[in-house]
Amino acid sequence: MSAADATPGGVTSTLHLDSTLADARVVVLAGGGGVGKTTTAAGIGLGLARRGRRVCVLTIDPARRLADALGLEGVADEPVQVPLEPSAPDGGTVGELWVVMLDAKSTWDGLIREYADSPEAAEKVLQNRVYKEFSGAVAGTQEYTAVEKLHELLQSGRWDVVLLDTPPTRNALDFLDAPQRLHSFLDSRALQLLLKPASGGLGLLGRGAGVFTGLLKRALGVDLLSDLVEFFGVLGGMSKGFGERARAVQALLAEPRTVFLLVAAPHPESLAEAGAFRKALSGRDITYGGLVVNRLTRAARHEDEDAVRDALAEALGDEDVAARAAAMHERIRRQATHDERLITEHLRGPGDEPVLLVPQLAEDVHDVEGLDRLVEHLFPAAG
Amino acid sequence: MALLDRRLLLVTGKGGTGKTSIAAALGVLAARQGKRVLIAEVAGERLSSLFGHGPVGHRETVVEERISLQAIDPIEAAHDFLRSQVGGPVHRVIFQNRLFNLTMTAAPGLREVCTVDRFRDLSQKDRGRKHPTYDLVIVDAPATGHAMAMLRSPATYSGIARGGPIKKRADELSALIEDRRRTGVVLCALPEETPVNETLETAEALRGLGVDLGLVVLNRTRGTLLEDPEAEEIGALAPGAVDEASDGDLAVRVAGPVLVEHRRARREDVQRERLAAGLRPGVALTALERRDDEVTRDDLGELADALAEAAA
Repeated sequence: MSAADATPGGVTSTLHLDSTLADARVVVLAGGGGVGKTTTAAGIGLGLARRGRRVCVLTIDPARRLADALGLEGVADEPVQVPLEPSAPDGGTVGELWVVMLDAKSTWDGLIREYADSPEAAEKVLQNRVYKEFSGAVAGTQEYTAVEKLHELLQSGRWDVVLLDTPPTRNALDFLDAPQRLHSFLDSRALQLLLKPASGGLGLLGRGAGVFTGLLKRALGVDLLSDLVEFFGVLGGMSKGFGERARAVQALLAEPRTVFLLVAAPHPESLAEAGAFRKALSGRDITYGGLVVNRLTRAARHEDEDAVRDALAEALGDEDVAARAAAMHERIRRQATHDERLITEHLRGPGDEPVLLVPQLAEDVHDVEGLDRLVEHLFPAAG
Repeated sequence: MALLDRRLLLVTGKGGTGKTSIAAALGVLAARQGKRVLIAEVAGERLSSLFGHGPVGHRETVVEERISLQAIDPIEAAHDFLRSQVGGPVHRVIFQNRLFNLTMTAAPGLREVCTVDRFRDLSQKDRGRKHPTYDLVIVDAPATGHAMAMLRSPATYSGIARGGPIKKRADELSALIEDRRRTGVVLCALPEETPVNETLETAEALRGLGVDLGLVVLNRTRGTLLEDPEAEEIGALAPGAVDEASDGDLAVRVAGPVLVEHRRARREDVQRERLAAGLRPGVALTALERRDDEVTRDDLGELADALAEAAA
């Protein structure tokens, strides 16, 4: 590929996924919302499958048409295989591409069943109002279940590499710390206090209920409090299981064969987010692969609008069309210059950061064919 | 009911759709009309720097004539609420207790209820002598999923707690949220498939909650100047795939990028039509043009102009 991976001002791709992901067993893609993270994950997954590996992509919320095309519609929590035609006419080695959509609630339910002391205890939690809200809630629990599911997929041994498309979050640490945070939460002293039976009673809710619980009851409504006690009573009993799992997941994320990639769009906010992620990652024991910048506007370099208009007028024989096309080109040229400046400024930050530039594609990606076109940009042929 | 004549507006949308800028521009617009405005942020604090002011935190702060800001901290909001319910000394006992913090983290919707209660307090017509009164409170709300959880929280909480002052308050909050004369939602969208899907789903969910959708803003639009055959004819000048860079003379080099941009703009048109067709009749929809640079205070005036007609 010649100038295709260079922006007008000459920022070039320095991230080569073929070598960066050669030994990867886990690829974690992080980044804000709306930057094309899911599509990138699917594209990298397909690229690796085209290289003969058995790949599973764990995704959170794919665009509907892509989900449709991959056979995911309505299938949560179960890996689905994407049928792949051989990429080359001669067949070649094709691996496998599987996709699984995370469903936080059912992952939680599975965990409860696994760690509960008895089926009755599990059922009690599953029916608890606080649990129902907790497991389906937005904040935090999705991050936790994502790493949990990742662990489960790897344990099965069915795949060579698992890609994790993380939930959009402003703070990378939320995601990295989710297992540990959940463990500390369940293990906290406040919980022990709440649950510790006081002189044969029911802990703080028993006969000795102090001023404090009285106040809480008054402010919050007593029914909720008893649900809370029950919820933590059972969940707290599972604390050891969660603790072990948290350590296992933490170790997995720290493995050298777990590679983190950041995905961004050429917007100031998105790059600022990527910068913050990078900073959060830098103090940690993780392998950082680099930054993928999607939807880069491409234009011819350094050309003024008049020159473009004249050249098009000559090629097309139509002054009017040439003038409008030149105006459009000028618009995207300005944006391309702007995109490039943003990326240059971003890369000037601390530390070397490999970057992979993916241009704005002519068509949306909503099928395997579209993904194959994206793969050409994600894994450009050497030369 | 004109959008800005309500007392409470919640601006939400998928991440990256420009919620903060739109909330700020609506604030500028309302202030121009002579209203005293408070713009409240819920997830983080970005507005103060946009208005060229230092961080304001959880404190109502005047940053410009008729414009105040507050960055609501949910935990502080919970303390505000409890203080108003149980009085200062008792509140201090609760505040120091770990169990309270645990409860705040775990009780479904409790943090959200307290945050919504901040909105209620701020948007009251009479807040007593100690607090300023605002004609309009604009909330730069979290992304859609969390914002919807916030709007649902009073009902959720009310269903769980069978008594106590929070339950009583939760019922009042439900009434405020469902009152279209007082409360409206502004949804921000982008002209792309997933954001449009999400916007349409959210519009329906709001309807289900009985919350009025006052305005949908389609942000970062940029149309084409060419007709399809014209663009294809230009694209044909490029020898290879149009999204690959090609060498050659100038006409050849610009051909691919122009066709890629044209097709992108066409896809945008399709999404815009889909959005317009999917919204219920009567829901106002307006588009804002794409800007290359980050929005600054100077741009807010322009954005306010662009929103003026739709907000009228």
